[in-house]
Order: sequence, then C-alpha cells, then structure tokens
Amino acid sequence: MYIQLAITGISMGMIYALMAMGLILIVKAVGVLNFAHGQLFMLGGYLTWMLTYQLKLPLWGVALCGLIVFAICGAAYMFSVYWPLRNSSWKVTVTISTLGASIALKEVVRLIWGSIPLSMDPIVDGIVRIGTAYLNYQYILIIVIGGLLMLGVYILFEKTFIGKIMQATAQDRYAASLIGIPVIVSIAATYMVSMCLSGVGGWLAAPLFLVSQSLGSMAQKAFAGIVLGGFGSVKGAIVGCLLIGLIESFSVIITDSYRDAIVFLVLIAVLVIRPTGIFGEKISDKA
Amino acid sequence: MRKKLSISQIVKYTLTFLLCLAIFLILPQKSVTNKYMMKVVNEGIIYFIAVLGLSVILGMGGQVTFSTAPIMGMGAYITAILTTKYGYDVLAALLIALLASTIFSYFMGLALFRLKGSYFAFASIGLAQLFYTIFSNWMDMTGGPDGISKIPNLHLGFFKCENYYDYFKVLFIIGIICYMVVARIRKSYFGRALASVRDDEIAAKCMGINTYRTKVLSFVVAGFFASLAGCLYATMERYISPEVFKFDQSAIYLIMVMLGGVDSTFGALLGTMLLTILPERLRFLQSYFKLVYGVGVIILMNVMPMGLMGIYNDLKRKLHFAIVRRKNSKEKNKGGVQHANE
Repeated sequence: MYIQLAITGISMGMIYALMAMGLILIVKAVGVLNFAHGQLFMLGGYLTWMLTYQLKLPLWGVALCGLIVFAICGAAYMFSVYWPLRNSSWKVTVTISTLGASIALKEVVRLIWGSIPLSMDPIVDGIVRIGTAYLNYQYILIIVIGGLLMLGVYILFEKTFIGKIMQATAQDRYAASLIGIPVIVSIAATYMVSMCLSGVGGWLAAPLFLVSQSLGSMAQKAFAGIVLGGFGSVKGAIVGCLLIGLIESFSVIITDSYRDAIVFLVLIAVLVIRPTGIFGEKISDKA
Repeated sequence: MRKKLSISQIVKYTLTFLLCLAIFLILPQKSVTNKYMMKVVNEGIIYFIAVLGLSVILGMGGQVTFSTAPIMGMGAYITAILTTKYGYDVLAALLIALLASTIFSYFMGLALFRLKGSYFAFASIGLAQLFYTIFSNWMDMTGGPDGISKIPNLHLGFFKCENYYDYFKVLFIIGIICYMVVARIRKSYFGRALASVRDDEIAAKCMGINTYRTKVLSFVVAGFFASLAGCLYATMERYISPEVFKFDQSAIYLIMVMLGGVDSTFGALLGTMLLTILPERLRFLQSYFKLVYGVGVIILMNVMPMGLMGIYNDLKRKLHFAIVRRKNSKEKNKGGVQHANE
C-alpha cells in the first residue's frame, strides 16, 4: 500500500517537475510567468494523440516527430506571445498576454479535437508487482523518462556550449548581446526546451488521465511545487514538485475529495513557517 | 491645504454629477433596458467593484494576484450560508461576511507577501485552488457543485430590492462610493507609497516606506472590495456555485483591469463594462468567441499595453504638444516678420 502510494506519488511529482522545470527556465531566461504552461502541457498530450492515432506513427516516430513538433510549437509560442512585448516597460503585460494565450490555446484545441476526452493507450501495457503493490508500468516509465529528461537538461545547461549561451542570456541579456550571443536564438531555444519538457510530460500523463482540456489545470500543482521548493533554482523546483506529488498521493489515507486542498494548505503553511521555500536561497525577481 | 476649484473643474464636476444622475434615473426603466440587459449591467457593476480592489493592488502596487475570485467567493458563501442555514438577516450576514473576509485577507496578505513578485502570484494561485476545492467539496455547508440557492433578497432597512431594477439603484450608488474611495486612495499617502513600491521597491525602502506593510494593506483593500462584490453577487443572483469563483474568473478580472488601463480608476470601469457587455453583443461568434477573446488579449497587450485610458492619455498629450508647437511656430513666424521689417 505505502509502496504503491510512494511510487504513484513520485511519478506524479515527476510530471509536475517536468512542467516546473520548463516554467523556471522561462522565468530565469526572460523573467516572465508563463500562465499558458498548463495549456502547453495539454497541447503536448493532444499532439502526441494526433501522432499516434491520426497519423498512425510507430512509437519511435511519435517520439521523434513529437520532439520536433514541440520545438516548433515552443518557438511559435515565443514569437507570438513573448517577442513582440520584450521591450515593454511593464512585465505584467507579458503575463497578461500569456493568460490570453492560455484561453486561446484551450479553444484551439477544443475546436480541432472536440471537447470529449480522448483515451490513449499506455506506452507499455501491463502491471508490475513490487512486494504487495500492483502498479501500471506507465508509472515506472514516467519516473524513468522523467529522470532521463532531467539528466538531459542538466547536461544541456551545464556541459554544452548552447547551454552556456542560454545561461548567459538568462543572466544578463544586454551583456550577452554585447559579446555576440544571438539573444533571439538563445531565448527561442529556451522556449523550445521548455515546451519539449512539458510536451513530453503531457504525453506521459495522457494515458493516466485521458486527453482533455482539464489537463491544463495540472500546471497549478507545478506552480505550487516551485513555491514549495524554493525560488529560482531548477533543483528546488524538482524537489518541491516531487514533494507535492507525494503529499497528494499520501493524502488519500486521510481524505479523498480534499486532496487538492491539502496540497495547497501545506503550501501556505510552508510559506508561513519558511517563506523562502525549502531550499532557502533568497533570490528576488528579475527586474 | 485646500485648493480653490477653478471654473473648468466646477463645470466638469457638475457635468459628471448630472450624467450620473441621468444614468441613475433613465437606465432602470423597463422601457429603456430589458430585464436581461439590466441583469448584465448589474453584474458589470459588481465585477467593477471587485476590479476596483484589483486595480489598487495591480495598478498601483504592481502585484499580480489571483486572489480576487476566492475572496469574492468567501464573501458570497458566508452571506449565503448565514442567511439560508442560520436564518440571519441579510444585512447582518453581509456585514459579518465583509468583516470576516477582510480580516482573513489581512492574514493571507501577511503570509503571501513574504514572497516577492512572480512567486507571490504563484502562491495566490494556490489560494484560488484551495478555495475552489473547499467550495466544491464541503457538501454540508456549501452544497458542493450544486451550490446554494434561495438566498434572500437584499434590503437596506427602508429600501427593499425585489427585482433587477431595484438592485441597479443600490449597486449604482455603492459603485459610485467605491469609485470615489479608490480615486481618493490614489491621491493619498498610501496610494503614492504603493506606486513607489511598484516602480522600485528598493528606492521605496530607502524613502522610509514600510513596503511589506504597504503591500499587505493593499491586499486588505483588494480583499475588502472583492468580498463586498461577492456579498452583493450572492444576494443579487440569489444562487451561487463554485464555478463563478474559479481561478479562470480571477484571470478575467486581471484582463479587465489591463484592458481599461491599469493606471486609472475610470479605466477599470471602462474595461469591466466592455468585457461584461461585449460578450452579449458578440453572440454571433458562438463557439469562436473564446478564441477571438484569447487572441484579442494578446493583441491588446501588443497594441496598447497601458489599456484604453493609456491610449486616451497618449492622444491627449500628443494633441497638447501639437497645439503648443503650432502656437510656438506662429510666434516665431511673427517674430521673423518683425525682424525683416526692421
């Protein structure tokens, strides 16, 4: 029982963490809250559904085409929602524009695929038995793929040249442009990585939750994870999201319908006790 | 120190007063507005009251918050529960709800403003989600997804509201009072302190402003207006359900503030009324409406980041400069002619 709860909790946490990483990358790179992130996640679910059931691609084709499509979507999203507003004197305008984008994306998806939830087969079918716990392979797969992606992002940002470029842009855009970094490419790359992370998250979550417009609301847990974990750091966001996942799955023991309430109560309690989150770095917002 | 009113100001105030009086007398009549439209306008005024609070915290303070809908819901639900379950008088229930939610928002403000900027916004989403879960799950009290119905009508002791036309009169007066309060806040010490926090928090601290307390106070003001709007909403609709107090609704309030122009109280009115009445006029778009709406918001932020009032002020400034330049060039021409004569 506890093993089962722990594993489902961690795998849910992984999904939140994939979203949270994308969010944090954008916040660090351009200092903008992306409120359409849940909708990008949902779009990931729908796009992979389209690739598997409408275009009938094999699994490796879905993975490959999926990543390419996600990257294109990320770039398109950046050029439509962020780029025209980059020089605006007030950051709130970009935030509001992402709110508009979230409404628009939800509607686009509804107009194309309808409002009935679509079912999707798990990537690996079957049930595994660990001790006394019975689990879908999908949960294990989520943890594995999620872990691999995190490792990939770590290597990308810490060990490669393009990652260094993105970090430099995030630290100081003006200085980066002075030393010859193409800022536009770098920011677009950040958005692409971010969209790929949440798109894969949507793909992994789709078999468990059905593909529907309500997938987008899962982003709120990712927001909670970011606040819980501590600010500005990808590491903190991942740990926070895993914690949120665990709290969520273990709260089943106490209550069923108040799961969300417990998650957010814990969040607010943590804020009162330790306002800087678990990893207490004090990093203020980008100006 | 009290400045004397200039003649143009007196004319302006009188005209505004007459306009308000005319709206107050003409609009709530069956021959002018039908029942449905009256309801829409009433909802608009209620949203406007909530948006006013938001314009204090967002427009003056620069803090993005999603707490409007949940606090509004808190006011509405307390009013509804006290009147339907415990048989309180409407007015008493309304006052208790207002007090309770204002005190609650004070404590929430204390907790949430330990965070800064974006992270404050993240945490306020948590608040919205928490309340939505409570509203839709606490069956005994809130009735769950079915909501609460049969909430008694509002009365003010001497004046009893029985239909939407009566409600309009009450709401209109409350709306004007709230408008004046917020317009006054804008010019007070608190308003200026808040604006300095928005523009540069470190500078504000250097000036000796307690930024934390200022921000918490702005949260309380926003909470007060939101809960007032919630109470009025509950008594006017006579039915509430969790859907109205969702996270999405908070996002709509934010868009209302931004549409009108964050920097002006009148802009808040403009934005709210546009976004409440426009959907009724755009019925022909049907299923495409929300798409148009979402794309519209993005375009709006691109074209006029400071909203409608921002555009208006820009135009006014440009016109003013044009007139001044014209005058200057005329004078220069005159000077030139004189010079030639000499």
